[in-house]
Amino acid sequence: MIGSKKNQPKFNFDKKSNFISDFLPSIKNEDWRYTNLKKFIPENTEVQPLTGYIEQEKLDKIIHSNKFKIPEKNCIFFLNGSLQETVSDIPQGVLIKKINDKTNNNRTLYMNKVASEFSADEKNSYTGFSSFLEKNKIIELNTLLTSSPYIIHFDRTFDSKNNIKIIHGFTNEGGWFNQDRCLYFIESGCEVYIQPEVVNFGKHDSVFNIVSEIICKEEANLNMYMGQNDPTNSSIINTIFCAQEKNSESNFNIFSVNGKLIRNNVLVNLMNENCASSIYGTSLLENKEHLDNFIVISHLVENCKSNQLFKSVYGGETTGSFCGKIYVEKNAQQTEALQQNNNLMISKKASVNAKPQLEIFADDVVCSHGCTIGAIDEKSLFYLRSRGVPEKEAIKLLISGFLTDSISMIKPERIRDEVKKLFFKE
Amino acid sequence: MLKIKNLKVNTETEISILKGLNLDVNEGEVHAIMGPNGSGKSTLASVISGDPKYVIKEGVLEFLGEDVSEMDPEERAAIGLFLSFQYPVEIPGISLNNFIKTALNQKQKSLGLEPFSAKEILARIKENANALKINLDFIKRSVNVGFSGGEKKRAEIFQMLMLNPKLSILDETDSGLDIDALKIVASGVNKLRSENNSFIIITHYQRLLDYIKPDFVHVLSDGKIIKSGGPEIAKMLEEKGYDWI
Ligand SMILES: Nc1ncnc2c1ncn2[C@@H]1O[C@H](COP(=O)(O)OP(=O)(O)O)[C@@H](O)[C@H]1O
Ligand SMILES: [Mg+2]
Repeated sequence: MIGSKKNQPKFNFDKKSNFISDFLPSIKNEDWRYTNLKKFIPENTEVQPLTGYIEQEKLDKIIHSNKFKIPEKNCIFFLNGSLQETVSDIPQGVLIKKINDKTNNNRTLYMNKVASEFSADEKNSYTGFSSFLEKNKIIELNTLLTSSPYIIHFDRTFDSKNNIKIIHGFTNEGGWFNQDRCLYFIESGCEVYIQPEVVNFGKHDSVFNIVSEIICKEEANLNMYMGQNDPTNSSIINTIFCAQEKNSESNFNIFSVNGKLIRNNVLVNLMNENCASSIYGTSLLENKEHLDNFIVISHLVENCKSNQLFKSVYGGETTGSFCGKIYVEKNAQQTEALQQNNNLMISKKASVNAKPQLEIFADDVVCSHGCTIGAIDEKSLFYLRSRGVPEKEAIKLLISGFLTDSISMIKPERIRDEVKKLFFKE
Repeated sequence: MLKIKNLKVNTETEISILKGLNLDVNEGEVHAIMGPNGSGKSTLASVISGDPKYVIKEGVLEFLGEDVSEMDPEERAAIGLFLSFQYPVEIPGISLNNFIKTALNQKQKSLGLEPFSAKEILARIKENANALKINLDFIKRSVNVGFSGGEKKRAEIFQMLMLNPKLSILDETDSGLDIDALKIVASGVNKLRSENNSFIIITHYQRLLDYIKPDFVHVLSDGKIIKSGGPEIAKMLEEKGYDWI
């Protein structure tokens, strides 16, 4: 076993499963209404032991145990939460270090501390995620069980053409409850394209609780593309906290195709003027997956824009939930906040719950939301078939047509092609 | 080529629409079908093409000597049937270009033939787009999405030319077209017209028939063909309306 229990924070390991369950939300928690997380976590699940140094030979063996290929260029590889520099290729302009002390009192995020480290003269305060943190102790669990997070710092010398893969790999030998935590700090004016991905080198029936904090400084431009395709059928809880400064832009694009449970929490605070954030979700689930997208965009000041577009195809016995919150503060005038959620049901046994939530306290705003839930359109299907396209192919074509608009938002062509393959296996 | 005898068709909800219809179309013939709104013209076109929305209760439906009444629409298309829809359907996210390539190669596959090379397809696309004065940017757009009425009809004829069917059914392809668009559509049809290829042209107006000369004209009323004859029937209908019959 690679992990060593000696490094662990002091918990009673004999009661691990009880320990974990104290942090799990019940469905009485409004934020978890349609996902009973406890059901997805097998009994006897153990907390992932912390991993120290791993010998190269062992590392190679782990990596090659799986069909997974580590990109040679522009790749940041974490295994069980530790950076593996020998298999990483960290480009110019990216600095990775551990946050140096652990003054975090568990409930709060690391962002404030990190921000003050990088820009000493500024008073940074990224509060505002507190109500979510209170209701979602799973983040606290992540804080407790990760030693100290890595800061991935992008400075102005970073070349935006370097699209970076961030691999959160796990050996997961015992079907563990795994954590990872990192913080992205995007300096002023930086343009960044990253692809974080969770890779399970171990057993199924495990859980990945990944928390990312992001600070976009003035005029930063962050593009994050997340593929969720875990063929081992484990569960992932993926949480993103993004705080944005003046004139910054963030684009999140999440692609879900495989996994027992996929829960995405994306929380964006637009904290200063002229910020923009787009959150796109695209999913094609055909077996028994459960997908739960939980989005909160907070417009805290005036003149910011946000856009949510979620497109999901549910087949087989899949179930889903979409909750998109738009919160507009009283003084956040001239806000433009859009939300669209379209669901295509290709199986009678699939189901979805969709819930837009608008909390708007300003009066001069443009906010819109729309939700559709429908089956394959019979007229369209007959139209395609009458031109000689067999029914099965015609359905595939209609699905790909349904999903294209969110996929076409991906800016780098290489990533776009990769994602198309993920969905349509062309 | 097409043989329809005593065809009785209901909707899924058992509403009777075609009530004993007879029609024979031979190689190289052009048949026009006219008739008041709601008489069953589009239903006939859909049933010939295999729309699962309709149920054949009785009668014979043969194409190229084969009973096609239980064939899937895609199989009928593969052996040479084409329907230009009265209301072409919008398909978001699929370009006309991509769609026609898929359709063409699926048809090849069903017939056990090799797929066309990208080069061959492109040459055919260019030739047919040219003939219909369609510009190549247009076919990059999503199928029928945001197309004007005239553009939709032109796109239908473009697909017809690409698929090179033996029997084409044009359901009110002329409705809503100005005279220039009408001429372009007619030229598309005449391009495909040959001693082997046949057409059924559903229309309300004589004017299309000035450009595409029909061999026969039929009047459909309340689910039956109540009158058949030559082109003179169309002229009489234009002058006197359906009451004349
Ligand atoms: N799926 C359907 N369900 C119920 N009624 C239908 C359906 N399809 C057609 N009809 C009815 O059948 C009649 C014939 O329709 P249609 O074939 O579209 O006529 P036309 O094309 O000659 O105007 C109309 O009264 C129409 O309302
Ligand atoms: Mg009609």
